[in-house]
Amino acid sequence: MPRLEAQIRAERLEDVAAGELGFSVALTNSSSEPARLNLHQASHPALVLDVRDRNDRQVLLPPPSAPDKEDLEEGQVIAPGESVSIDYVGFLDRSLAPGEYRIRYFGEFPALGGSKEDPLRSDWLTVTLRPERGFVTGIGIPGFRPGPDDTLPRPKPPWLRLVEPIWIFIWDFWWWIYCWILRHLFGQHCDDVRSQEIDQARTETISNAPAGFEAWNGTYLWRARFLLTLDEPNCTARVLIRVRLVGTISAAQRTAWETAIEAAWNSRFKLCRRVCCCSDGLRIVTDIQFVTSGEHQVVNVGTTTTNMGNWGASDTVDVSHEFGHMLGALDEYFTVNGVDWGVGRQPTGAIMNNPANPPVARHYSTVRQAAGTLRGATYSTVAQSSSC
Amino acid sequence: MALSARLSIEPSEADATERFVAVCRVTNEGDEGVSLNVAPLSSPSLALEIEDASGSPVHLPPPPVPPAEPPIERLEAGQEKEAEFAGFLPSWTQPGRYRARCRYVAGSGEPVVSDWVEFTLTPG
Repeated sequence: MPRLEAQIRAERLEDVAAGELGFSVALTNSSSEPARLNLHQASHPALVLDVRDRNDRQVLLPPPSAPDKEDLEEGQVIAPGESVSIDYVGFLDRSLAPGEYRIRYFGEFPALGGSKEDPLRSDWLTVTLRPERGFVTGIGIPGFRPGPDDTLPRPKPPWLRLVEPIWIFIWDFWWWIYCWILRHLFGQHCDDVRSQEIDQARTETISNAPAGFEAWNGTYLWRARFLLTLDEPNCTARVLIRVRLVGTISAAQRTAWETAIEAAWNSRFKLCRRVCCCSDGLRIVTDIQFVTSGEHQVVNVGTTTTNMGNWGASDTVDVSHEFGHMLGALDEYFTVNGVDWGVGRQPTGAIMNNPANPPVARHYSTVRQAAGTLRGATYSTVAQSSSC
Repeated sequence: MALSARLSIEPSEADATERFVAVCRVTNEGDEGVSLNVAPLSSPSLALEIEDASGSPVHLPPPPVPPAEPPIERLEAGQEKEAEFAGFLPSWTQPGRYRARCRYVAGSGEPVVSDWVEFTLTPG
């Protein structure tokens, strides 16, 4: 008789923020006969994860997404000895009280590897959730400027280019002394980690589209949604976007999307301000995670990329541009909100003009503003290779 | 150019935005073949016009970066060009009644539009 075994593994078990908990479950066919499992259905945390608090009370999870075609199919055949792995991330509500929790895989239906009489279950995984730091989830960030503020860069005058390095040197010297005193005489620590879910409406009006492209003229609206974590111990500003996919895509195509997007956006810029902790800035780390619930964005998988919510399965270029919209960046072709950018896909155009090219600092404007309000400070965006 | 547009949306009622599929068809009603710029049909953001129950426009996310040259296809007399937009409604759309029409904008003249089609997003 076919038999599956479930093993649960996590990289981090202590001091985890509820919304960031992630682990994987390895499902192995330990019998000599092929077993069947609907991997797509088993990827829904609410269908297979049993979560208990310290008092063994069940923690209810958000409902799974509406069943799609793959959920209703027979499932995959797992050959004897074969093992498959499923990752679960971001399924716990961020408002969950801190403390100790236990989690296990629990499949009590044939599609999930077990039955009512003989459910497929893993050992318990015990995790400790830490209290939220930073803003309370769901409360708007005061002072956040929701309107588009991207502008064309202005060149510095020659005199400023000459004087600025001298001024910076003097400032750096005095600042170094100030920070030394704070650290050694007043015992300042750099251990602050704070997170905030960002949900900002973004809008743009395209005009002056040339002949043949008149259809582009119009007003567009979307929501930039991500989890922003300012992490002093690691000197990072982490931007996590969870995406739920609708439609058929192979694991290789999904990995290609992730690779292309993170290559385009990750670790290219940092957020700088005059401060003693992370004085060389917070590196902007972008992370796209594919989830089955608790998503920031829904992306429909098709043959071509047609906007932020509809991506081509084989496309690894335009999807990076659409990810820029998810971060809050505006388009940079034709005339957008009164700024004339010229035609699209210029050889030297940045990613919001030519998706094949990398982004520039202004494309992280929403991230910078969110970080500023989260910290109550003003940041500038600087290339990762430059000094703050 | 004698073009007409038709729109169908299936299903007419659903509890998740991703379930709606719009199909826009542009037909050459004339006696001669025409060159059709298919760029305006390349994205739901370009080809669909949506309104909520109060008549306010529902704006979609921006279309993709346009190609260098408009893609042109030949549409013979009586032929139609079909564009399918699965999951065209953004995930943040609130439940309610909506209507949409297909809009083919070619040149600076009046766009070719279909009749309005109603659909309802129910609470999930």
